[in-house]
Amino acid sequence: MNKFIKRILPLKIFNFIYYLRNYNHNVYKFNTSINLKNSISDLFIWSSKCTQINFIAENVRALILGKKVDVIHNFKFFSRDGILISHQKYKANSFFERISFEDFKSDGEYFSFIHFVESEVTLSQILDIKGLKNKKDFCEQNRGYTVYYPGDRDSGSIVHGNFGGVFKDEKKLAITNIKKHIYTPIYKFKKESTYDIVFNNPTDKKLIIKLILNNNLEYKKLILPSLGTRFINLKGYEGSVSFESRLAICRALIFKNPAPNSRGDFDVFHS
Amino acid sequence: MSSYFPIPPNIWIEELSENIYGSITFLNIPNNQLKNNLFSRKYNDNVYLGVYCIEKFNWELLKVFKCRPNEFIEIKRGELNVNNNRIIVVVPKKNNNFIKKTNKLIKPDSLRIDRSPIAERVSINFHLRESFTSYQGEYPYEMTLLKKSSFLTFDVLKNPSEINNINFLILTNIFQESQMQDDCNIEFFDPYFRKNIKLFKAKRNAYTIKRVYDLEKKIGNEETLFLKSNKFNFIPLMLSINIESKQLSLEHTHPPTEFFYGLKKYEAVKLIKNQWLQDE
Repeated sequence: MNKFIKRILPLKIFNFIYYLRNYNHNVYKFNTSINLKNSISDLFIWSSKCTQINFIAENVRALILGKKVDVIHNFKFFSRDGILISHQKYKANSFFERISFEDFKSDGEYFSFIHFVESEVTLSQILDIKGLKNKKDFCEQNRGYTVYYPGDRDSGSIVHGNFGGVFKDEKKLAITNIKKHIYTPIYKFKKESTYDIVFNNPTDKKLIIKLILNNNLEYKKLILPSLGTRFINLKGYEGSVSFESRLAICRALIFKNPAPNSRGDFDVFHS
Repeated sequence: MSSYFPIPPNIWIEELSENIYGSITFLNIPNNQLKNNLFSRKYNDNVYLGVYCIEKFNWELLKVFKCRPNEFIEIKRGELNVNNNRIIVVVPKKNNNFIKKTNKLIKPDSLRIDRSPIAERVSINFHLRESFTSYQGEYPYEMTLLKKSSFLTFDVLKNPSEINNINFLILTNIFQESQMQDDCNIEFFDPYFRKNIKLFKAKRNAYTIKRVYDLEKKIGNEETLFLKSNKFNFIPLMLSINIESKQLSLEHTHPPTEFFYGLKKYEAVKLIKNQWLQDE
């Protein structure tokens, strides 16, 4: 049925109907003004506990042209309360660049950052070179991967970004819904391990997240300002946990046996 | 969207003379749902996990696990007594009516109870001694119906090999029809020297595991490699192990569709695919 309706309706109208039908379950705003001047970024997490953090950044301009293209990879870092604290820039021209961040101090153990790309030859000009006429209704999305090093001798643990939809001017595409959702990662927390469960807030509203320990029905509440980051340290617990919030999908980044840790039992993953 | 759950293989580490063990962990709960109110249905369903593997030209049911609401089940590869290079697929169903032998893998049921967005997932795990790594993963049902598709990925998630790291690229393919066990050439190359193309074979309805160092040796450097196929699709995973600390890391690589956002993003994705998938 969906396929049939999609075939007969203009794409924008189909998507608007789909958006209305998913009332209460939408991750992003219905945005008709997406264009190439924008780019959106995942909301990545920085850990001050790690000895080193790398970022693997993609260069879509180079990937489209099939050759090196000079770009500047930009990173904006926000304090645990969501205040802009640092803007770092790295010149590169490769298809993928492994960037080792300059260290800097902030108030929290975990906070968030976004990634966006600037270049002398714009993405629009590159699409012109490739003969793409219709350049409306899409934009670059910076997803990337963060590599966390928990100790000096260890290899890094790699994860992709949490969904964010944050524009480079810090406007936000992600929304909160009226009804609350309960998200439960399919993961068994173990008594003998320690976990930092880290959340960030990609919306422009204050976000309340309740972390529910399903085995003993205890819960812990976090309040996150826009672009802010908070975490809960969980130890001695066995079983599943759920996250209750007004986000359509509330996923956390989980640091198992967090840094500093050279024992080899460190792991980072998206819930 | 419903999903299959492939059980990852055990991987032999020559340097340590031992295996990294693969398993999945299933939890019987819809992983995203609206908060209950007076009118909502309370989730209280049993789920049956049918474990299938291909025997000659059919999917054969090996075992069924019953999973009660809110219960975890871990299925370890090593406990199934199946040759390690064969694919094992777990099919979640709401009833215990599994076909014992079939040439078309049965469709998985969804645990979803409302329109909350999320894919059905399990924890896909690898462990070695005290080290354990996982990611929330699945193999979408729709992907198993694609007779022909293309594949482009990059080995960007590897840890540098000079400091005691071993990286494994794991390509997973599941196709609904069990007779389809043909293979295709995966071309890999340094993107700056595209004429120097090397090949390896990857099978449909199988895992293909490659040590990244072996691929780098053939190309002659340790830069990022691009990998492609014009025949069928795979889910690419990178598993890394540090020989000294035994630390493991596991993550999947984003497909090129993730580089753009918006209604017409496929226009731009097509340009990347054309750039790299077309033959030189």
